[in-house]
Amino acid sequence: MPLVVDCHAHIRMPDNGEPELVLDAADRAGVDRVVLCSLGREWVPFPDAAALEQANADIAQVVERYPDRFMGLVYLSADEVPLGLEHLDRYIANGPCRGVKLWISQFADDPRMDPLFDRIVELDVPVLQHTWTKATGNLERESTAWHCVHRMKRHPGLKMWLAHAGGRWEEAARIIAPYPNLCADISGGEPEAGIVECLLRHMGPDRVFFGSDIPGRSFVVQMSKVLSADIPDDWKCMILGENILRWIEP
Amino acid sequence: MIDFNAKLGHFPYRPVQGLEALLRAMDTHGVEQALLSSLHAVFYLNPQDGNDGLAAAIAPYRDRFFLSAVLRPNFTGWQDDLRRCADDYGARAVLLYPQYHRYELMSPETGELVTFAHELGLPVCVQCWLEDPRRQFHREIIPPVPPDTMAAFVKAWPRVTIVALGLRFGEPDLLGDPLPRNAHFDISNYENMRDLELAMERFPQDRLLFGTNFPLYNYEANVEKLARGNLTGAQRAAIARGNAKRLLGIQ
Repeated sequence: MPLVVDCHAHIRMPDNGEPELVLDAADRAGVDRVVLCSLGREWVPFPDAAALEQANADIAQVVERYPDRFMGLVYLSADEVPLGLEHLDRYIANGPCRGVKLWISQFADDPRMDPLFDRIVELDVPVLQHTWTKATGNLERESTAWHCVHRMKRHPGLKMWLAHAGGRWEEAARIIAPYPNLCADISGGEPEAGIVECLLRHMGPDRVFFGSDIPGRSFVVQMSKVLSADIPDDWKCMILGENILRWIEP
Repeated sequence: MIDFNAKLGHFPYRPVQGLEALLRAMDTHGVEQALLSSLHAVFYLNPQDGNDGLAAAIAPYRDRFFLSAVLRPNFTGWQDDLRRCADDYGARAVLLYPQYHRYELMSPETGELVTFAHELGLPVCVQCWLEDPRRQFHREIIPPVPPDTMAAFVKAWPRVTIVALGLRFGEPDLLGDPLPRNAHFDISNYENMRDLELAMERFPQDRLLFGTNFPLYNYEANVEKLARGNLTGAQRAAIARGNAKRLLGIQ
């Protein structure tokens, strides 16, 4: 069995047994390591400074408790840029975290984020960017694959992966294909047949990551997207863990 | 194992696999039999055209497949179609798509169909969720069957065996507390970090059915969900086959 690393998981609370439940489920599913982020204890679209402080302190606490199993991402917002710069130094440059999580408090190409992205590129850490293109209508500042492309053009040295493969993965794969530092995770969403094969047709096996989006999803169901794919076994190993480790291991 | 929720046919919005792939997946994962319905029937004006085609396709595999008849009460002659599915094709269930076929689950017309199916000894399945609305490509978004509508339907027909297909985590809880005795659901779209473990804390084990929603979902997803869930052997056996055998009248 290859090393399995889930690149997209959430917790809300650090000390109520939740991390241990994640580890128990990971053990049963055969997941070795988990890249963890917090969107705060209450998932609000536009977190204030207190919520960001809490979220990043929670992640650091969990990662320090289980350094062999969890890798942490720092949650940032365009509404709190000075705090974000401080957190990049506190939790990445001088702390246990390995990357950045961005959700829906701004589009990926929001110019207010430029100082944060300058520092992220300096630190050479990757960004997990939430993305979706929804037939039912996107949220107010919910990024699509195009927002990520625009960001990449402004910060060519950036490493960014699109959560949920952009939602409409058939099209997102085409949009980001020309940009080698844009990758995609397959987390969340139903276990629709063919997602991995479709992504690989456009992007190649080194740019697709396994992720689950737990706890709302399950490790085994999301992993089945990879394991059921009609692709060579060495590509499955890359997707299940090698690709994200290449970016996130120090 | 018995797959209570498999389908065959084209899907209008992306390519899907067919009969050979289904048989291969079933053999690979130790699934002996499947309750199979027509995807064509979801999109054809007359769903019986889909039932007829599926019955012909699976005729050589009578030991592996049971037909689930997709019918709509708002299309004239459904009574004859149901009779033909039961008598000629050996259908073991009826499957309703109220959102796609544009009728009300609680209408008198639907009631007639439910009554007839019950007289024939067939469970009534409702496809509550077929495809993620966020990823649809229709002119109009087709929403899932609202859980409160499904709850009213289950309550209105207490003597009829009803199976909700495609419910998401948290939705079976909305069918009634406790879950009504005639209510069942398949696990195909029931997903959470501790899905089946939590389901066993909330519902009797005789209400859950292994289902894959093939070919829209990859087959492994629900095989692995069941295999790796933190369940007792009895719970796993009930979900994998025991409950389906009872509902479908399989010896």
